[in-house]
Amino acid sequence: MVSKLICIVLFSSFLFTVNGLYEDQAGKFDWKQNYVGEVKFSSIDVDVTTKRLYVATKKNVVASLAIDTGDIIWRQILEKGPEGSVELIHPTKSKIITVSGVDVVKVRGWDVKDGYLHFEWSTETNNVLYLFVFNGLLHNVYSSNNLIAVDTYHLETGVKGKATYTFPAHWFSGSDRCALSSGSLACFDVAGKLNIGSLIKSNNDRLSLDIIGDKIEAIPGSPIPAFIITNKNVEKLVYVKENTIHLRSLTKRSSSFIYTYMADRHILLQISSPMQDTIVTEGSILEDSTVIESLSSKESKSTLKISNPRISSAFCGRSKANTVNCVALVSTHDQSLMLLKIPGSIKWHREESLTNIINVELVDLPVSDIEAAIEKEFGNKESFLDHSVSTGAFSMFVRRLFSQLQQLRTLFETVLGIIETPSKTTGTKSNLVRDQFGLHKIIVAVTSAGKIFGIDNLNGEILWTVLLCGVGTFYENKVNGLPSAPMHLQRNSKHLSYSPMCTLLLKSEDSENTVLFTFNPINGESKNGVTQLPYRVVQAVPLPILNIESVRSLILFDSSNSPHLYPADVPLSSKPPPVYIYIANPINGLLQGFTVDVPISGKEFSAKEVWKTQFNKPTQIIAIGSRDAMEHVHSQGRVLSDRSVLYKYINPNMVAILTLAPDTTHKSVLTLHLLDAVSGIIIYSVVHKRATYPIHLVHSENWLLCSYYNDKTRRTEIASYELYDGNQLSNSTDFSSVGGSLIPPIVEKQAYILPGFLQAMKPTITEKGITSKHILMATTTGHLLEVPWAFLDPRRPLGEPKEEGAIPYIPELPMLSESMINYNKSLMRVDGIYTTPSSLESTCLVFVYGLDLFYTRVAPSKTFDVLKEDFDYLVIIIVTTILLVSAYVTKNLASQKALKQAWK
Amino acid sequence: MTTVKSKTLKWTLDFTRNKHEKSTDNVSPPGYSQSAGQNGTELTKDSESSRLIIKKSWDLALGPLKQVLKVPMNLFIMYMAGNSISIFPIMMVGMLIVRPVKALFTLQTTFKTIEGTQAWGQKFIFFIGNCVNIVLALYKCQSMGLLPTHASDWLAFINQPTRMEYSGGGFVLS
Amino acid sequence: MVTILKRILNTMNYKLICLFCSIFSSIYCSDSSYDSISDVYLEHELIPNAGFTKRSSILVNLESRNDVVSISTINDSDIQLLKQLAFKNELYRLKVTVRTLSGKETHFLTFTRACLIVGSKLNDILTLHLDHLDSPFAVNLATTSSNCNSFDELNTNNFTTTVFFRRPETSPVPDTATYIQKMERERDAREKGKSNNNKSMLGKYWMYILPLVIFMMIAGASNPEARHVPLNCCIPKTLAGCKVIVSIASATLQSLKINFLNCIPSGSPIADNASVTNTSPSELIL
Repeated sequence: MVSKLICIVLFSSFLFTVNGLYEDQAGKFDWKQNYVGEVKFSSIDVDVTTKRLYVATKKNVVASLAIDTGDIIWRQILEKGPEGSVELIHPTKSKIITVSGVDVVKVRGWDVKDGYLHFEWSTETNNVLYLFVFNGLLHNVYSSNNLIAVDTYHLETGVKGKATYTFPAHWFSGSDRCALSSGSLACFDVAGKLNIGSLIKSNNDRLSLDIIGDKIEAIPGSPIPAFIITNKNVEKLVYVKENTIHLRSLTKRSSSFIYTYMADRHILLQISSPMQDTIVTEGSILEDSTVIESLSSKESKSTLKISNPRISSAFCGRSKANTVNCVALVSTHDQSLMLLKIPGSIKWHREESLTNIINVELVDLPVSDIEAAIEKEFGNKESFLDHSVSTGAFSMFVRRLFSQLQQLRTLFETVLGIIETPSKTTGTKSNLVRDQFGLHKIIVAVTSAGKIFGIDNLNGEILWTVLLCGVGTFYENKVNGLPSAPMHLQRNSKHLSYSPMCTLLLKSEDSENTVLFTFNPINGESKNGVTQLPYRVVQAVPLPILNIESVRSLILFDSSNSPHLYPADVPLSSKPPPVYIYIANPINGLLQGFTVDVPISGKEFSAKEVWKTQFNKPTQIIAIGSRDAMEHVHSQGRVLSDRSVLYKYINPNMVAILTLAPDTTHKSVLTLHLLDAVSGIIIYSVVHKRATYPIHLVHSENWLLCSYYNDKTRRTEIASYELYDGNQLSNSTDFSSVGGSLIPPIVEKQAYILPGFLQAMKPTITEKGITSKHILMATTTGHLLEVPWAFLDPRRPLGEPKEEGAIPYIPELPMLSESMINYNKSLMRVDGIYTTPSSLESTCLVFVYGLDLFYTRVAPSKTFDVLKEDFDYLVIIIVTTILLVSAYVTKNLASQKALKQAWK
Repeated sequence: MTTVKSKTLKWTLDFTRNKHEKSTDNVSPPGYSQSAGQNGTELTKDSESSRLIIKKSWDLALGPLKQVLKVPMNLFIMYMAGNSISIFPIMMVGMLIVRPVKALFTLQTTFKTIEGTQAWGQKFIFFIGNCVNIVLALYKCQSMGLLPTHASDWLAFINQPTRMEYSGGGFVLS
Repeated sequence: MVTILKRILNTMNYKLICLFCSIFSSIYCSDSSYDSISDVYLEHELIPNAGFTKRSSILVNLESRNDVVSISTINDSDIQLLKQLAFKNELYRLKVTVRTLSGKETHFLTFTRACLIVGSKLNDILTLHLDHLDSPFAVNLATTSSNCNSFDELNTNNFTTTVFFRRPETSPVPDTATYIQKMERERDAREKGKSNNNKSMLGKYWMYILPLVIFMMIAGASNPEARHVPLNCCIPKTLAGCKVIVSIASATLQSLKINFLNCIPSGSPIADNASVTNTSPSELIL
């Protein structure tokens, strides 16, 4: 009874460590940015009362944006994956109708004002080729039994039309040689002739044209059937008007858009971007090629970085001065979205590629000049290898004088108001200096659109962008088919005489070889940053030591298993310890380990295969969980209730390998292997039967969490493992994996039920590892949960507590509303969570990316190392002064009195 | 000698003595005994005072031990204080330790006035007594869990072992 | 570590017998499936980067998974090469091919430091890791000793190889059944506890009252002697005594309060609060 009561007390005390946010703290340390994704379809509503844009995106989002600002007015998120992919949008007076899905076509009508769902109907379809809307009817073009058939449905009710038009399928030569525009299908036949036929009515009339082309594309959103035919980089425009085919050659490589201006007149708008920061538009009358002067413009903006712009939708009108002007929604190849006023300017610009972040790094800012001078003066040899700090008394004195003079000058300037104090200006270059607690950093985000962003972590402002156009393409992640961008921070901002350096591994656009792109993560500048390598890199591993230029060299492992060093010519500062590299092939289940002995010169070395593990077919490696390289484990053990120590098994070389194999009896079998990456020894393996996706793995300190969907019990479970050495410390000073201990570690295991579905999971990390660990979990409901690891501890006791502070075992994990650190800011479609330590031991910085970007900071053990925000400095100053003054006054009074008494 | 006669009754004054038995001297005041005075001074000077000093100094030397054993106050307080760590038990234990340690440090000044054949023994006993007190306090500390005798108390001082090999890698880039 | 080694060495002889048993059983036992009997073919590299040479071949049964001890002899020139390898502190690489009788081959590679092989007098341990379908996916090599110095004392030509098998463990499952049982037990205990609660105050808290009475008695008895105690000792002692009295009094008060609160029917919020604040009496004192 008493123990239970103690447990309750302990439990409730733990509840309070989950610190919620006060109302006034909302938005103080965090920001959230909403995005919609790369625009697929759009429509402009120029009604003066609404003035809106409607977009459907590749992220399966239907949204409405304000024309003037580009802000999201409402946003609806459809199903994930192909089931929710929007195939068509059709604006009506009061509704936006979307058609989505692949095998089951779902038609939904959204209210234009607030995005409420008005109606929904669905129909099952097969072999759908095209979908289009004509006359309020949804036309579904599909192939069946050598026929091209068209079914019609009433768009709002889903009532199937009587007629099914059929066309002979022989002239449909495959979807890559055909295009559909405005209800007309254009196909190249075998002879290379272009046939265009209407699918709206059941006639076999076909227009044909003799033209040679490699590629045919429909002009999106065109009111009349119009196609672009490409033949050896020469583009021609083919359009149908009044049942005749017209051909018009296009002069420049640009993207076209046709707008119905008057009943029989169409405007051809062309847009191109000859340079990354320039947009050129041209307008002409489609029918007679008359150039409209007012629509020809050239727009340049230095902060702009775009490629291949394309008009998604446009609206043109006649101004008071009797000239034609247009508003065009332009989406670019790098997935940015902007509203262009022609003639005029870019009204707003959204970087929608931030919904496709594939790699993130938070980079420390460099110290300010004044601090740099101080650092130089007191610079310790360890972190400032690059300085030849002279230790002579006189030179130190001179340097001290100089730095203090500089400090004095900046002080005067600040006082006189020549320069503003750094706290007032944000985002400017001069302000990008490290703060006292290391909370201000730069988020370097690589997106799958080939654009790198530098984002200020305090306010979410984009500081710089770099377009990887023409540099290279991304590697592909074989496990999920997404692009992957291995990025290594080779030199951080701590080295004063060198600028920080970040390297991205890319594939060459014209060969299989690798391209290295090196840039400065603080300003995005890249001087001679592109290095073409004569081989293909299959793995890049940073060395544990720096070279003499303070660069963390990379061992590049090429496809013929020979290692190279990058940068190649610079010798290392000391002889590195042997490095073991493991390479996992997800498809054939092969794991190999190599040893590389890098000489101090960094030249001419080779790799030797030392271990090989082969998973049996059809087992696939689906995830590798390695500890964060920055992670420190402060405590080497755990104190038990009898005050003895259970030592942690901390093997820095241990990685967790997750394999998934289909099984006849258990559907699928998920196996977790703990592998020593140096010796290739399997430390432990455990089988989870009937476990399927979504699978997430977390590996930190001496524990692992593996979340999966249990197909048998139909719920998300989290298996928790913890490794211990036992009551004796095995070796205290050195840790070697080669020829190591035969005794396997003690593995504690337990499973928990999570009432929800996970999108991402990540542990917090702090600088010294003293602060307790919390797990951040993004659920499909849009919450970001901060769960203390103590809740997931496999040693949570069912009976008597094994150690102090252990919470009794409860199978279901609590999802407390106080522990949702994103409070009411739901985060949808989370792709990943990034955590990084700040200079404050208590604080961990968190960046969540996906459809929305969210940044916050968490303090798992509360902010024990800073004063509270509402700490009353004034009161403490007043109290101390009063005490000091009164002490002096009373002292004098006392001495006077003593004197008087002595004379009595 | 009258004094010899009235030896048994020291404080009795015999008024029933015969008048004719006149004494040659004046009668001593009641309670006055000449011999006692004469002999007493010598005794006090030689043996009585030193015996007292020795007794007093033994009292002093045995003080710490008496504190522990004769009057079980400390033991009782310690028992009642319990093993939970809060401000009052800590203060008590602190006092228990500090007092004998202080006494040990001021050993010389305490025994400055005392000289004699038994001084060494007394000092030794005093020392032992204080040691017993300290041991008792340490035992209390031990039972309260304040002594760093367990491996867990030294856990924070264990450093992370240095790595002999480094490893890295991951999925093959393709 | 040492104990494990002893255990291994003690079981060596037993395992020698076992080896023959297992070989015989694996050949003659018709129960085990055809594919479970596998040949483990070992090749080692004695000159760095010069290729692998044959060491030995061991027959194992992947279904019965009995530990196998195999002894194989290598020639003197190989021993010399091995010593050189150990002397140069090179790695000893072992290529393992597991071949089932049906002809399915899987290649593995494992290594250790050569000096460990020599230092352990050619006693090594091969661990065959099997997946959930009992087919091997990894082979690990280890030695019986971590001695890396005395490789001049090598006086044997025989490799003594022990083959162990490791299968993956089964995953933990959320332990809902035990948890529910525990909850039920606790509920029962609570109900039982409620019925026991109506004892008299004296009956329940005698352990606090008794020391109080004893203390009073002692205090009373020691009072006449107080004169003899030096003054400087007296103050802290009595002060401490006062504190104890106060503390005991407060504990008694507390217990009274608890007793009072226990009279309130359960379920009312006050009673719940009381049960939370009811910590152990030793904590209440001071």
